[in-house]
Parts: sequence; C-alpha cells; structure tokens
Amino acid sequence: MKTLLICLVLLLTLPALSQQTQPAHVNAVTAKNLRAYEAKAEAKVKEFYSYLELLTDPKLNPDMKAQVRKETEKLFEDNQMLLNLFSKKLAYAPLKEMLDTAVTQKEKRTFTISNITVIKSRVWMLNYTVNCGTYSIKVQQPFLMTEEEKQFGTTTRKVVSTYLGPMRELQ
Amino acid sequence: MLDIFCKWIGYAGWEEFVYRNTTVATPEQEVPIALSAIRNKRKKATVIILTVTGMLITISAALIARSHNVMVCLKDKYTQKAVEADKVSLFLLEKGTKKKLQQKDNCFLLKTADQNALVVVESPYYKTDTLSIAANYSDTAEFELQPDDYAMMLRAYMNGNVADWNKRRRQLGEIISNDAIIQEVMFDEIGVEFLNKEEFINKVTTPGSVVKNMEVVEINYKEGMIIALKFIQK
Repeated sequence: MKTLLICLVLLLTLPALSQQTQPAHVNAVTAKNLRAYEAKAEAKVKEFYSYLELLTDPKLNPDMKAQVRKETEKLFEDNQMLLNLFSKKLAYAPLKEMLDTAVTQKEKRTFTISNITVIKSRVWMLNYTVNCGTYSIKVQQPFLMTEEEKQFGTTTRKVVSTYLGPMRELQ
Repeated sequence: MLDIFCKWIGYAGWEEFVYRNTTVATPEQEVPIALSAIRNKRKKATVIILTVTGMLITISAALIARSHNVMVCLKDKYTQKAVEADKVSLFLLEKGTKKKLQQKDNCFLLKTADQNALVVVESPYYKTDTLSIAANYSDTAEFELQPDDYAMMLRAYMNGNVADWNKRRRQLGEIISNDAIIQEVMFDEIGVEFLNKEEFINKVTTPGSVVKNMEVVEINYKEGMIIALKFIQK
C-alpha cells in the first residue's frame, strides 16, 4: 500500500500527553481539531448513504449513475468488504460487488442513519444504525486518515485525506 | 367641514352661522356690519384651509424623505458576474408580508421607509438568502449569491437532463483555475479535506449530502479565476 496510514489521533493527542508543559491554547486547538474530524467522519458516512440512494434510482441516467458510482468508490481507500445491504441475507461483499447490486435495484431505496458515534481510539471507529425499509442493523466501520500527495494543477502538496474502512455488523 | 369652520369662528355650527347672517341682519344699519363680519370669517376659513393643506404637504414630504430607494444588484459568487434578474425573485419582508420587488435594468428597486430592510432572495439556481439592507446604502447595494448546485444537479439528475449537467460541469471548469485548492473546513477554519479542481467539480455535480449541505465561506480569485475556495457542511 503506497499511502501511509497515519493515526492522526496520536499526533493530535500528543500535546495532551505533555499537557503540563503545553500552554493552554494548544490543548484548545487540539480539542477543536478532534471535533472537526469527528464531524467529518459522520459526514462521510452520510455522504456514502446519500450516494447509495442515488445509485438505486432506476430512473437515473447511466452517465450520471457512473459518476455517482465513481464518487462512492472514492470514499473508500480500497475495495473494502462491506455488508451488502441489497442482498437478502445481508452477506459480506467487496464494495464493487455491492455497488453492482445497488445499480440494478428496481426501485429507489432510502437509508437513514441513526445513533452515530465516533470512538476515538488508535483507529477511529464509527458505530451507527442503518435503517432501510424493513431492516435496521447496527454496524461498525473505521474512519481512516491518510497523508498522501495530491496534485493541484502544476503543484503537488501533502494533504490528509479521509476514507471509510470495511464494515462489520455489530451484534 | 362647514360645521367645523363655523365652530372655529364661534358658532354652534353652519345652521347658526346661516341663521345669524341672514335672518338677524334685517335692520338696514346692520347690513354693512354683517357683510364685513362674513368677509372676516371667510378669510379665517381660508387661512385654516391653507394651514391644514400646508401641514399635510409637510407630513407627506417628511414621509417621502424617510423612505429610501435602493437598487439591489446581485452577482454570482463563483463567476463574479451579474446574476440575470430573470433567474431570481426578491421579496421585501414588511410587517409579516412579502412584497415582490420590481426588476429594473437587471437589478431590483427597493422602496422602503425601514431603516434596516430585510429582502429575501428566492431562486431555483441560487441558495435562498436574506439580505439586510440598511438605510444608509446610497443608491445601489450589491450582494453575492451562492449557486445552488445541489438543486440544479438534483433537477438535472431527476429529469435525466444530461445537457444541463454537462453545461454546469463546463461552467465550473471555466471559472476554476487548474491549480485551485479547494478546502472543506470545519468551524470555518480547520481544513479536513483538500480537493483539486477535478475532484471538486465531480463532487459538486453529484447531488449527495455534501453538496446539499455545502456553504461556500471564502473564495480567492486570480485573473478572474477561482484559485482557492473554502466550504463547510452546514
């Protein structure tokens, strides 16, 4: 894997470890950063499900559907294993396979996300409940922060990018 | 009205005035006195009419002076070009009512006596906004409107309107510099995601939750092109 997975939490919480020697404003900034990434993690999950809804719309133009699919794939670092929310048994499947199923749905599906929490441990974990029609399942999914080089026209910059990880059902 | 004037000059009303000035003045010596009195009273009545009219004119002039006319002009936050007036509707919020403003030369004419007028902008192409227009604005007030890409894209998606969708992609491509850095920020300042031009255009033209909640907080231009943009998710 080319990208270097970093645990931003460690970087962000380092000042907290040396709390006694740091001025007060450093801790305040750190807490704000943590809240910012927490909000981003929640927004990322919601973005994923909003794209899934569009993908299931049978009336959507194929070109547009292709773009939505690309955007959905970009939310993940790799072809992660997810719960296939469109399979009868909610079996695990790679992202791309799940999206294949999504685009062939005969009617548009609506998802709502509830009870979303972000657990800030070494790797950040998102716990939430997915509600879709008749089912409601609790899932867990990592939120990954990766430092990578990105091209902005003629310049290259190192930036932190965020992704969703594999999904697993919580009992 | 005649009753009022007559009361002012000392009679119980018009009837008393007529009675005293016609029936009482029968002796011959009294006729010139009665005529003179009538003339005086007419003069007084004229003075009153003129005074009241003057007061009405003064009050109207004061009210007109207090109300102000402002031309409200709008420009696109991305392109910095004037918004076509046909694409937006402006309403003045006044005493719980909405009054539509008239278009004039691609702007809108606001006439109000409020020191701080509130004007609502509604459009299928731009995000709804409420403009606060203070009385001290001279003749023209200019405001920026943020394009509502979510609404535009959702419409294009729902109607399968590939032409509109591609048009918007082209428009964005023309106004965003190739070197642009687009930042998603939290709490207006902490950057949590960095997008290049292509990523941003793809994101904005996909009607997901991000673009639905997107609010542009800062744009920097260079030679008419966007070189940096910051947005938050509300």
